[in-house]
Amino acid sequence: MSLKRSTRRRLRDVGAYAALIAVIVVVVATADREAISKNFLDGDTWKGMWPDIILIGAKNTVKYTVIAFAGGIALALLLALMRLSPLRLYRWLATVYIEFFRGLPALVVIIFMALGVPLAFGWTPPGGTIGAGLIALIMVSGAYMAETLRAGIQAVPKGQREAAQSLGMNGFWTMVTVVLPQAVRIVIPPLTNEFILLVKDTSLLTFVGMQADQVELTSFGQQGLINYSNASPLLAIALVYLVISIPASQLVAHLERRQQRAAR
Amino acid sequence: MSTPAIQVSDLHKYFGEHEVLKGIDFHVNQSQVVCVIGPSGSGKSTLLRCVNRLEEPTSGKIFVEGIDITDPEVDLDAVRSRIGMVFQQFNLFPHMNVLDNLCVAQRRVKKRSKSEAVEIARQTLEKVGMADRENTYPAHLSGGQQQRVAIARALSMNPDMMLFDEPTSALDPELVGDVLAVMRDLASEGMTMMVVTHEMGFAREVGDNLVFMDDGVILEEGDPRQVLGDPQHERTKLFLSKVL
Amino acid sequence: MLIRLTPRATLAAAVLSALALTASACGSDSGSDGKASDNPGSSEAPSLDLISDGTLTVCSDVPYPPFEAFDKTSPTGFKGFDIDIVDAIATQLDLKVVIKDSDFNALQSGLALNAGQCDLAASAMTITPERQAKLGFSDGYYDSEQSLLVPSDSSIASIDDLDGVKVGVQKGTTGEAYANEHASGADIVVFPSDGEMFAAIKAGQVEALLQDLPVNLDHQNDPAAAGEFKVVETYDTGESYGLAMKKDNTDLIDAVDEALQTMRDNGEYQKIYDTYFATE
Repeated sequence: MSLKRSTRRRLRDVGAYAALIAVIVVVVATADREAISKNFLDGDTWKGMWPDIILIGAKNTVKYTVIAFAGGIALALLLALMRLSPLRLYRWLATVYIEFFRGLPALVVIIFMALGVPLAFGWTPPGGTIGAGLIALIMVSGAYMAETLRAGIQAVPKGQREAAQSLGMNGFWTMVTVVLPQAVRIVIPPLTNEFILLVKDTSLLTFVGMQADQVELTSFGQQGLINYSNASPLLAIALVYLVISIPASQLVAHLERRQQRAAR
Repeated sequence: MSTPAIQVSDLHKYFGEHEVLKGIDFHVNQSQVVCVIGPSGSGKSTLLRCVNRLEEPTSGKIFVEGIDITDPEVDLDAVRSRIGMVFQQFNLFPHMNVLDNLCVAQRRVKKRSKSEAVEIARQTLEKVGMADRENTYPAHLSGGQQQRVAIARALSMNPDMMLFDEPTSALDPELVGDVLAVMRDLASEGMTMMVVTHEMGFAREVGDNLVFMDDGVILEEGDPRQVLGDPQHERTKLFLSKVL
Repeated sequence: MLIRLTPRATLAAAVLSALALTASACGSDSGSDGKASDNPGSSEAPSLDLISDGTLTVCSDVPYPPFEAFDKTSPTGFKGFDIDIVDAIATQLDLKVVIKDSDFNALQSGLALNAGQCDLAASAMTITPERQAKLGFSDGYYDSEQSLLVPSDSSIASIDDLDGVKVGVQKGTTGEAYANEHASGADIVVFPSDGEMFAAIKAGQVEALLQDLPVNLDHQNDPAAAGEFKVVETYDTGESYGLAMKKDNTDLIDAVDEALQTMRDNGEYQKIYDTYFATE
């Protein structure tokens, strides 16, 4: 039997759609709507969490993310420049740092900074346990972003550096006015991905202890589970996380499209 | 006799094991235009790039206006700010408009005020015929326009001499003329120029001296009409027969 | 009040529920809606409604010594006062015991029980009216007392000295509630478990711990930190620990209560109690 190629393709597409519809039907049919609405859509719970879910939970999640990201970028830039340094010792130190902190779970570093460092060194990081946890997030995200920044700096064509040098510009001004502005454009999409990862990593701070006004979204949701004894808080914080992270990833997509256009 | 603008003596350059320049002796006098020709891989671009030390010479000496630029103590940035360089690929800064391309080094290196830098930038843009494009970004200019802006960028630093590294090789043929016209004007104003090029017409017409390089050595040099019209070396004859 | 579901919301909620609760929220035949599957004629049978026949599946937030701790040498893999009590109950009911380490919040909110993860939660859980609203409790099996632990050189002597002091409590516990109620001037720092709390007071991140007395006593008597911490005050909350079960599983609750009473009568309870809390 010889079907036309276009017919075969159409049949295959229909099959794919049918499979998808079947999955959806099964999921909808087996879902226990009553249990779902009781557990996830309890009206009193949703009302009870408002507006603290935004004014405390989301506010702190965004605040912790911004602090960790800003600090992480600064650290990453330092590490990236060390990685590109002509001095072997600097390159080596940066490589060791990056490999070390990329290899550890963020949670381990957070707990260590908040609870281990004061024990081991008799020094308490500023800002209590949250301050220590944020320093840990900066240390970890800095290690990740350092490699991204390094790649971005190296992706700037060699001719750009040579043009600046041939005009008599020193290493500092070449980096600041010519290389970094171009590197930043290259690394904005991967850095935004790191930002989204950080939004979620701030939930790990709950492990080192929080005061009532320091609670971020995940911790807020856990308290909701305790106070309201149904799963609605989980759905609520999930939605707030999406409200934060989806615009960020849309921004990345937009920037990537713009970059492709700019590159002709 | 005045100090030569560029004086190169016994210059050697290795890339790893490979010897690219095998003992070059060569000079450019003040207000002279020297064209360097030769097949690709002959070392002519490397020689040019050694003059402002974008390439590190392996051994030998290079003097720019009497200053030994191979001396480790030399203020390289100061030397480079007196030597304009034009690249085959233009190398304009893509994140700056034309005016900022011309101003950034004036501000950071020459420490000129913003208004002074802008004034000089506009004068040089006028000179290369790009005065009406000062707010345009490089991506929106043709290759020839970009190269003329690149020349203006180098000139805005008021250099004592200009290095050209195959300035027309990346251009569509119909755009070459505008760039050569700008270079011709410069030469007639008495600018000292070292030009690596395949434009034999330009070399014959504008050049005061012509250097033919092959395989890391200077095979022949002299008056361009002489070298182009009556080459002495077999290699030179062979090369010219292919390009002319 | 119910919110009407669009099919799309149903799907989203279903996906979410599957993610949130490892067990599916869909299996309603175990009766989250209250109409348990009573077969006619089976009411006389002693068979209990268990998630796995013949086995009492117990959830506990481990470690919380001396109530629950990991122990590789024990058949269940766990040890502690709660574990021994549950073990004895299961023996009485002729059931095997399986212990699962769980999150305390999932236990005390009823999520783990309602999602069919276990039959019973034994996790040093105080019987409170709020919890009784969503869980079925056995009779109390341990009188809970709260306490305040501070470093030995601390000037804190009572709960009145806590204004502006960082006090560690465990999330969702009676200790947290007690601190919120009686030490309103304190900076209350909420931790996920005693492990982080004890590390935090050692690290100087908090200056006091307010939690169950046996746990704080354990820290006071910790040979690795001998003399470093002391319990300065205890608080009788008039409350007891209870074993939590699904509210509608009355057969199981009754059976557990009966077993507890038998253990108290025949001295087995006292034996277990003395193993952990005897004051020489």
